[in-house]
Amino acid sequence: MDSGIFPPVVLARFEQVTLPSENSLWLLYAAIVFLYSLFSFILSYHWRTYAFDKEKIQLIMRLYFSVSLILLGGMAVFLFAYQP
Amino acid sequence: MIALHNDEKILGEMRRHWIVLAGHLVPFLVVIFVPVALWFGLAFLDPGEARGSLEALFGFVVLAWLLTAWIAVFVVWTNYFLDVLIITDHRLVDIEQHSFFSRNVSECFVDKIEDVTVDVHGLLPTFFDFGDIHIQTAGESPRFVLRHMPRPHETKDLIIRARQGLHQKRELHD
Repeated sequence: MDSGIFPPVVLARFEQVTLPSENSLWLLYAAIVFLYSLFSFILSYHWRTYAFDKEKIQLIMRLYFSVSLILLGGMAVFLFAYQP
Repeated sequence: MIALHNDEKILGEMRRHWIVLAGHLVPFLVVIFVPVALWFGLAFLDPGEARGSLEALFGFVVLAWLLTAWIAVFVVWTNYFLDVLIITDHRLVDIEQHSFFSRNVSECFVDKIEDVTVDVHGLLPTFFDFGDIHIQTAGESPRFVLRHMPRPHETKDLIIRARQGLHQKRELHD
């Protein structure tokens, strides 16, 4: 086996590691989505309530939600591909 | 939001200098690049049949990491963006957003202003033209301190002009 940059000791250690189950990762994903929703609610509440420049805030909200939804979607795709 | 009085006009809306925000955001850039470097490290690993699963797991962790950094960047930006000084022709409103659910709004009427001092101190403030503005007001209220304001001399002139304008308006009215 080509060990690449990792010494054989590290690779041997890696072989002993048990990968987490799919269900536990979906549970972790649900926890992340919950925390994300909580923070997004707090952020958007502050933006809508206190910001003066409403147009700028609309742009910022669009950027924030589109990138974070792409990241959350990507995480779900990786979970579907995950077969331990 | 602040409610403007009748015939009150906003002369300027200012935030701390962008370099203050940049200083807070630099650690997040480092945080963002750590998993990218690790991803390249994974290319040297040969886990055999588990490679697909390991890559998927690693991708999941990296995206979770990036999402956390992304939210943290917006938390920092929100604290910066909502920290604002509003100069009207009647008063100064200094809104300090310390963190979520911690906000301090101070007002100072321009006719109460006695003295405005600009303090530009150090290499970066001199090159990037930012500094502190100290406003001494009449009465019991303490000194009003506006920290890391961009173009502090122009801001000081704006405050002085607002005070003069209000005095002239009152003299004409009387």
